[in-house]
Amino acid sequence: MAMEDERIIQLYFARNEEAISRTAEKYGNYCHAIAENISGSKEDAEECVNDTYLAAWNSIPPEKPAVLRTFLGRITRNLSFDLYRKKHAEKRGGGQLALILDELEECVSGGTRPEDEWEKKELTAAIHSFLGELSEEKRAMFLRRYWFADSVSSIADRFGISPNAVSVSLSRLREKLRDHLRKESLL
Amino acid sequence: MKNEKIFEALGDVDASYLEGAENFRRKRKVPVWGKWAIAAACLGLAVFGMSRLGVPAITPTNTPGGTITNPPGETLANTPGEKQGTLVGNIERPYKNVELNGQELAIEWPWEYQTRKEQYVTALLAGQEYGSSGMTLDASSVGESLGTAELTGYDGYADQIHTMAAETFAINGILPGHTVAVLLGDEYVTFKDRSWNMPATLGEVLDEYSLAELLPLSRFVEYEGYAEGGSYSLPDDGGIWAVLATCGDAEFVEDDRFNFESRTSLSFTATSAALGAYKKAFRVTADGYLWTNLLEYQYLFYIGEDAAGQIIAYARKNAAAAEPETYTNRLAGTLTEIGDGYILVDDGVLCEDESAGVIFTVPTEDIRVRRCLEFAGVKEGDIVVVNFSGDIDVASGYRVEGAYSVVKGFLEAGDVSVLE
Repeated sequence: MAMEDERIIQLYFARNEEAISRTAEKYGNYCHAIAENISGSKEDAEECVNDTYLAAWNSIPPEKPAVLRTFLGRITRNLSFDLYRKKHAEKRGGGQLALILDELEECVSGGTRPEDEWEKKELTAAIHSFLGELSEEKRAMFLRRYWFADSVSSIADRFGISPNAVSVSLSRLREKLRDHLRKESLL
Repeated sequence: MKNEKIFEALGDVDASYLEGAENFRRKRKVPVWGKWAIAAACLGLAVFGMSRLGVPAITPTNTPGGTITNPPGETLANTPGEKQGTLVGNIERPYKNVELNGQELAIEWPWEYQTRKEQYVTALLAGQEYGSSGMTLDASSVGESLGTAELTGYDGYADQIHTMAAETFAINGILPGHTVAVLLGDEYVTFKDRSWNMPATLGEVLDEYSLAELLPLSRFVEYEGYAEGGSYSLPDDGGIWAVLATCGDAEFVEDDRFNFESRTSLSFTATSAALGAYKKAFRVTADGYLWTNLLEYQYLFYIGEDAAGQIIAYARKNAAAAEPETYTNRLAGTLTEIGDGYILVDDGVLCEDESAGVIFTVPTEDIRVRRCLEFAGVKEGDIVVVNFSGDIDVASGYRVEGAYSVVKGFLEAGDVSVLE
């Protein structure tokens, strides 16, 4: 772990509030990007990021994250998703998530196995093995879209390819995931 | 919902995979364009940005790291407390408080429903590979012939690769190794070198791309961190290029994590057909950086606080406040008739008083419009969103010029959203 992260975690353990400001300074932008991608709103993103700091404060200690960045990113992603679901009941949001969920629907439609039989652990393991079969590039692209909730155009910029190429690749990857879930008897 | 469970389960993937996804670009500076990548790039897809009617515009500036991309937005908001119409193209309409939530759609068009420009997106010339920018170039910008390039296109439905030969030309002011013009049918299309070549200095980029001549910096938005300030137009960008000309020695800065979080900056819109760039960002920060994604990758130079200060001061002094820029023109309404060579769209559904609706005539000669009707199944009675690049000719019965797509939308509590 980076020395700086080690130092920030020490601050959490010492219950020193500087931990929050140092976290915000280093990872505020990163968390904000994830939250805004998912919620589509600067205000909601701000709320989720602040809640992320609070959640980190409440969970470290006893937790000691191995990778602080990812630890924070996961919290932000979960909180943003929760907020999205809460708001989605009221109104269709402007973020990427509505689209992303529509896209993921393709991977799970037509299956016969009931949803309540889906164990998260089992599902995570299947997704993990699916990701493991992909090339580094395809895996990165898949995660940029479905973990970080990046827009297609943003992914195109990152990979230096056209948005068309990204859409096509993602569509093939979803197909692959669907096949994989079938093979694992999850669908 | 199973899809939500997938999204949730994905949240727990291994941290090493996430780090891989974050650092991917850094590890791989020279893209390797395998057969699949070429093939994928050749597929004809329609990708629409996101837009809203009735909310302030968001300038499409892509931030470094690629993690936040503000979606392009529609302009002319209904300012709170001030009753005014919504701008649709060049006309104002008396809409109720309506939000048009267009979304990114990806439709894989069959080969025969693609324009030539969409079909052929990769060019091989003298062993070097170029990718299409999709932008059309004026013949006056085209220089000497560079010979014949082999263009490649991929038909995803038939899983077939198509090739054709096309004459290729230099673009005035740009080194042919960077960007070339390919004659496709009767239009010149800008194709760009796809490899990553790190420039040593800003001077190299200014010279090899003739940026001062080819990149007009006529619009900018002020930023404090990521908070957007005013939009401005700048009638003369000469002062900026004069300052940049003195920064030729500014070195390229390799910093993938560079961000604007606590920086004051001006973000100029970078659009240039010769450079194959559409609404990219050219950004100057008060603490001395010049950042741009004009040439696809992040280009960052340290030009110093003095030079940046001069540029910012010049821009502020010479600019005039302007409405936020329109990314694309859109109109929405009910598709009331599909005729021979046209469709009619009635926007009454968006008006406070439905009878205030007007009927727009949208020509359908363009294959990009026709395919929406013939292939995507847009039909009479649908709520639709029409994207167009021209004006609305009121005198000719609200005729919409430059329409290039018609997509289905749906009405939800007064909002129109575009569905795939």
